[in-house]
Amino acid sequence: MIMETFEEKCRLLNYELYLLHTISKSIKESLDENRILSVMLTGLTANVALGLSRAAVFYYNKEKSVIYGKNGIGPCSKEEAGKIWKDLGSNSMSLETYLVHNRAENEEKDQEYPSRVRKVVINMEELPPENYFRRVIEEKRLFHLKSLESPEDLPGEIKDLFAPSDVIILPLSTAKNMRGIIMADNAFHRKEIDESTVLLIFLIAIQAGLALENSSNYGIIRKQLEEMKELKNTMESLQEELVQKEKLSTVGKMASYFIHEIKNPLVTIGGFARHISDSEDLRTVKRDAGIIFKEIQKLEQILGKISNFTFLSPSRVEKVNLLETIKEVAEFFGLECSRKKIDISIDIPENLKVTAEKVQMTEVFFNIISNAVENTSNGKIHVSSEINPPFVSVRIRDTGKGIPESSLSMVTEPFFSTKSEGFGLGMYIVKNIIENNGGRLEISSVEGEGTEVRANLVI
Amino acid sequence: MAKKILIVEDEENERILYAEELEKEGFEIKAVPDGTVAVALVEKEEFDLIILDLQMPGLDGIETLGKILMKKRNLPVIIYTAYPQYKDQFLTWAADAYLTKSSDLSLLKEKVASILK
Repeated sequence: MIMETFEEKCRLLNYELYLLHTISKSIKESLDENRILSVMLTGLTANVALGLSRAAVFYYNKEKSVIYGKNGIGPCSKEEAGKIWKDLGSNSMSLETYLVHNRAENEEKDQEYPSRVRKVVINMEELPPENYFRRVIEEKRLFHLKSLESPEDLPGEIKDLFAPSDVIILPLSTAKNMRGIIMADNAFHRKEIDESTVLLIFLIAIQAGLALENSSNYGIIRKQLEEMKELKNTMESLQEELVQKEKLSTVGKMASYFIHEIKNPLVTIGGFARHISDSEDLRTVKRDAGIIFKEIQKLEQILGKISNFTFLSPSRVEKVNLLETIKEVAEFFGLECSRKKIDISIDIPENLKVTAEKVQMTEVFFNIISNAVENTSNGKIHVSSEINPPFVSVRIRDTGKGIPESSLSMVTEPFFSTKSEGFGLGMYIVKNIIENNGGRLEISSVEGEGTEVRANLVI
Repeated sequence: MAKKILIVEDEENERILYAEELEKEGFEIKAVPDGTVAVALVEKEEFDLIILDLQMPGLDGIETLGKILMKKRNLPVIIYTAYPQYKDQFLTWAADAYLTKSSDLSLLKEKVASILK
């Protein structure tokens, strides 16, 4: 007899552990708040599990001192109860399937009880100290109210939910947060809620509390992650946009140079065309036509140069002549250099070539020389080269104002600028281009004495 | 006596064009291809007006302007260039007018006439 009781106890314990494990696992698997609540409610009321008649969750809002109904499961009357249990009896599902199937979510639409739960709003401050809802919140403990025939000491607001039964009221909480109240009963079938069931309810409530905490942490982290991702995307597209704009400003500067180049022949052509139209002397007409012809040839040459020099040419890696490229760029800054009394000299062998995209090399030297011109007046800019296989080191040295030591490492960072114009992307672009072509950029500077930029490019 | 104008312009055909057009207006014209020659000439000869290009090899328009004005502070100078963007700098600098080049020379002629009237 004793043996049988012991075996019985073991079996029961095993079953309880199984229940606890299965329901906890199901709860913990979800990060969705509503899903957690509905799995817990399903577990509490499932016939194959704890077999309580009904269960409800109320949330507690501490700031507003309000308790409000969140979700519930179960019948409202004996008739409804009979129908549900009959339906469930014909369905032989395992607990796991049952939890996955999730009774709360499926039956919610047809049931009166959940919608009654959701109508409940209780003002905590109006509850007398002995009211169990108040005591659960304040004392954070479970109450097992046996054979309750009337909702005395329960809030008046839940009288529509009440049916004579044993009622369990307990906190839904974590160590830090009081989330709310779970209320469960054995209405209609009145099967006794024994102590081990009460313990299981308590443990399941703890799991649910933890899962809710996880869910809200996860929610916060996910939201932050999404915000970060969005911010990152915005930053990237902004940076991309600015790099494009900086490139456009380079193009703009170059365009003004070519406008000058084109304008001179046009002025001459137009002027001599007027001459011709006013002239009756055949010799003058012939001479002027000859001039116009020469100027048109010049224009054709300039157009050829533009397609070589600027961004119109197709991008392809080739052997780029350094002297030609740097001369073209320096010529562009000629006027600015004489305005600022800068003596610009280039000492590079005629046939020295690097492997790169011509357009990109133009951009590199344009940005470096542009900075040198910007920071120098009454001084010198000297461009020279040195071969250190596998690199050609192109050295651009100016006698300008130099860069303070504290800023030197930031020069190639995006958005670093000492100028009021531009976006501070010039040297950032230079560094990227050089490194993408397998080279290296070095900058040294002494404030007040000048700057030396070394572009190490692959031969 | 005809007023004397010095044209400093590196493009040969432009030099010819400006010279012929201004001669038609009754001015005496000398045209030179670079700043160094212009500065030397200004020291030797008297001019009533200089028409100066900016972008030239060797001594460019800016340096030429500076050197001329150091010698003849009151000599009127018209900057005549394809660059529209330096206008403010040059007018505060010292030039009397800053015109952007055009195949229609009427604006240049008007300016010359108004300075030399």
